[in-house]
Amino acid sequence: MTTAKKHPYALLGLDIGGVNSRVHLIGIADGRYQLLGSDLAPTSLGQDLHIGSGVGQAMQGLQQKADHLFLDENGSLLMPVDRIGRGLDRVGMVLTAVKKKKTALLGLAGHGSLRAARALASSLPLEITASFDYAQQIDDERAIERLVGLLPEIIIIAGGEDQGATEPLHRTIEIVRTACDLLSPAIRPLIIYAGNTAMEAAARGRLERVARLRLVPNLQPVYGQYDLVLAQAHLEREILRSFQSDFPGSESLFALTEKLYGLANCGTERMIRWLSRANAQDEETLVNRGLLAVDLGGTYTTLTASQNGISGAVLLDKFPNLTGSERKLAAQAIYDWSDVPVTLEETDQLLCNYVLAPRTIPDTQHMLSLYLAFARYRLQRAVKSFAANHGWFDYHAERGLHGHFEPIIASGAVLTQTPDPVDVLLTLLDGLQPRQITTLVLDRYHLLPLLAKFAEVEPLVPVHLLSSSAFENLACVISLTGNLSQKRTALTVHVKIETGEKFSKEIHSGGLVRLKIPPGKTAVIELLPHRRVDVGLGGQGRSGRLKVLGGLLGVVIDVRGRPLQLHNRPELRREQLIQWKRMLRFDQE
Amino acid sequence: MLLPVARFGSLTNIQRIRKLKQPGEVLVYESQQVLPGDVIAETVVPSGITMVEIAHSLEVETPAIKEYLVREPGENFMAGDTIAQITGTFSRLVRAPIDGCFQGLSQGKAVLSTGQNKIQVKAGMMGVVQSVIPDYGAVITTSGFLLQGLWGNGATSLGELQIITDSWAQPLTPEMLDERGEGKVLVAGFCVDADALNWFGKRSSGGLILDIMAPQLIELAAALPIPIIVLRGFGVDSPDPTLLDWLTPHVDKSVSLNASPYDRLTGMLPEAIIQANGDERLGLDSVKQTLKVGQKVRVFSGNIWGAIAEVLSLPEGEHVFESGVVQPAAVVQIGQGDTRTVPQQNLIIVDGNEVS
Repeated sequence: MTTAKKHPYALLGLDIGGVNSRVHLIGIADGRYQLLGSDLAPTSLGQDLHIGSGVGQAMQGLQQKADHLFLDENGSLLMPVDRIGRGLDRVGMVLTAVKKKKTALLGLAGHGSLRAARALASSLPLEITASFDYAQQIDDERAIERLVGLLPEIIIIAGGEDQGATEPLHRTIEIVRTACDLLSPAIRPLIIYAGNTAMEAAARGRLERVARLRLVPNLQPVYGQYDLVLAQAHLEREILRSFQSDFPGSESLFALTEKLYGLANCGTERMIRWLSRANAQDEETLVNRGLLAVDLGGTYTTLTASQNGISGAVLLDKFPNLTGSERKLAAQAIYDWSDVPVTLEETDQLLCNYVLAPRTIPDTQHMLSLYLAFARYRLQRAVKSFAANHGWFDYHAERGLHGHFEPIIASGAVLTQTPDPVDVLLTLLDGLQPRQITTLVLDRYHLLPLLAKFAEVEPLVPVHLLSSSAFENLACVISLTGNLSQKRTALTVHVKIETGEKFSKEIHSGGLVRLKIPPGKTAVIELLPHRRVDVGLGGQGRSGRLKVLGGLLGVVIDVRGRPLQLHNRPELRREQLIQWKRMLRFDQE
Repeated sequence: MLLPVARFGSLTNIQRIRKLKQPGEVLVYESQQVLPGDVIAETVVPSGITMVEIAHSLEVETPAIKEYLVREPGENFMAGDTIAQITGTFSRLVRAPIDGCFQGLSQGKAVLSTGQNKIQVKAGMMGVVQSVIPDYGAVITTSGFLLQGLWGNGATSLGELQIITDSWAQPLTPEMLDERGEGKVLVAGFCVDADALNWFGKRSSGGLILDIMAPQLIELAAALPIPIIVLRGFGVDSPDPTLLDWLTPHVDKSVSLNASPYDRLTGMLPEAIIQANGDERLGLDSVKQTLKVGQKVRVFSGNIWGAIAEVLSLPEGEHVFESGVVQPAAVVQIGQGDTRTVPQQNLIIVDGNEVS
């Protein structure tokens, strides 16, 4: 006899980030799972601190605000929910505040298996300290010496498609074996073998005796197709195991969750992959439809995308290295994208000081403009890095982001704390430069990764939460591309809102237009583009009808073209940026 | 709100953990006195890897070469020494091409190393080993005046404190450094001149503490072998006179510098410790504390970036700032001057003791 599965009544989500720890209370209200409250406190990272104390402070804050009682008089969690509805059924936890592990990659072709290994390592908090393609392994003495000198904590071996070449992998395996043999047993790395499956036995035979070895499916079983999921799960577990030994006392937090924990970025990727599959099933006619999530966190920039069930992620440090070449690019980007008078020297100075005080929030308009300019740089860097690792991700700096990512979900304090949604929307549009049609959604509480955890105990939690106000629809955005001179009519729209209101508009190239469709109301928009303009309905000049949901800013039509062209002269560029904002604030039908 | 702490001259009992990332050998013992440059623990890895063909030279199958080896792994040898040989009527042998250590075999070749790389963790301070962390390092304690910065170039040293007073009125120049003795830890207000930093590259100095450094000097400072600590940040602003006032009584005292960069996971900052002579002691320092009225803080906000201020009040609820951002606020007073309302999150506590 089977018993009906009990739906959890109240859930507590813990999100331990590099700067802040958040707690979220999720429960049932009006027959649906809803976010009942959230609070945050600075993460208690530090050698004399308990990682749980920041979370505890946030829990106390949440308990004071929430109607639902989940802490007893001693501050301990009430579990499970009692017969009068007090307490919690489950606690889930995601983490970002982890130490990066030094990782070496060995593959065969730089654009093949090594790229797959890089895609895997870049999706996790791993620091790639060296990578070796086959040519770099020819001089095995130098390869071994370099590996030994770097003292990697993890070595990832990739290479050879399934049923592909095996011989070159012998050399790779031997280099790793010799390098490990040269290290004392206590400092030998974890080896992830993720190459040609025909070589698994050889890998086991040669490597198992010298180090901890994990065999995972070939990262690139067929050229151009990655299979990173299991390898990522292995590495996630390894990173979390290290976290528990790095932070004594964290065991108690892990115990609370009854194994419902994971890395935040892995949770986001699972969620995005799941949503992408669900979308593909719903809309079989639409090919290449995907989802994208971006988090501008206090420690990392994370971009996760999925299309047709394939997914990937990239996790980048928030700041460039101050002694590297990236610093100049970042300072230049802040200079280019800020709409306040500033010099390049000042933006460089701001960047360097921001690195020293990464928790700071912009309290003046001037600072806000500079921080949002830096956010654009972070987004641009993330899409570029993602595209470098994943061939299916169609982004090019000259063309923008192709590929029907719908929706694009954004999170991070710099976005969620910014008071004006126009600033948030423009930051996302300028940073990602999407083409065609998408919806920009703001994940105000960084819930997406936790939803993946709660989906393991109750699949309805993400279903209900994703359609709740915790995920704020900023706007449906239609980005036009094509070869059209300024001020010519690029698009004619006929709009019919569910309230019965109708209007039409001719839209000229070169700016932004906001169609006033009330938040939460649907509208049917007929799009009639110029023959040289692509609105995302199958090519240039293709017209069609679209049913859209009005966001906070209604529907936004971006006619600025791709790539966005900024004026060279600073004063004109500032005026241009201000003008774009003005168009979204006032250009309402 | 729990905020990071960067001490500005507090007399403190200081306890620091110095440990390797990977296990190795601990080279100190409990109660041992240590200096900043002393190695606490180290891991040794072989370097100068050379592979010598054995199977091919002896004309034997790879799996069989173990039989012909005349060296054990870990055994040292001189150039010309025999590594492997086949004895008999037509003997064949393989000799070491260099001095080194026989490490093992790989694909029919002997793996030799000619040197060692040492991964070390140093004390970074004067103090006493309180306890040993087996295989990893030790806990070191001392008491002293603790001055923590925001940026460091990774080096450590020890020296006598000297102040370049002129550098509070104008940027540090090489001329201001003339006549300064070797091995001194120099404190300057601000530095914008690469030549001034290059002076340190040519002389044996104990280190440099700067209130402010120009951002264009970061790469140069990072590459210098002497420790450099920046207390307030990067820019060309005028240095803080309270630093000069506070340091003056400590001139000629022994100061240890540990310019390790900020570690976000441990909360450790680059720091200078001026050894205390007396017995007066306060509690152990901590990397984060709860913000309270009366505390001294460093403010990271607008045109007062890095300034030291006193917390006058912590208003209830949240404050709407000029940017429109809504956050818990603190009202602070900079010196004897203006009061400002700033986000609590934009503060670092510099003195955890309440001001009476």
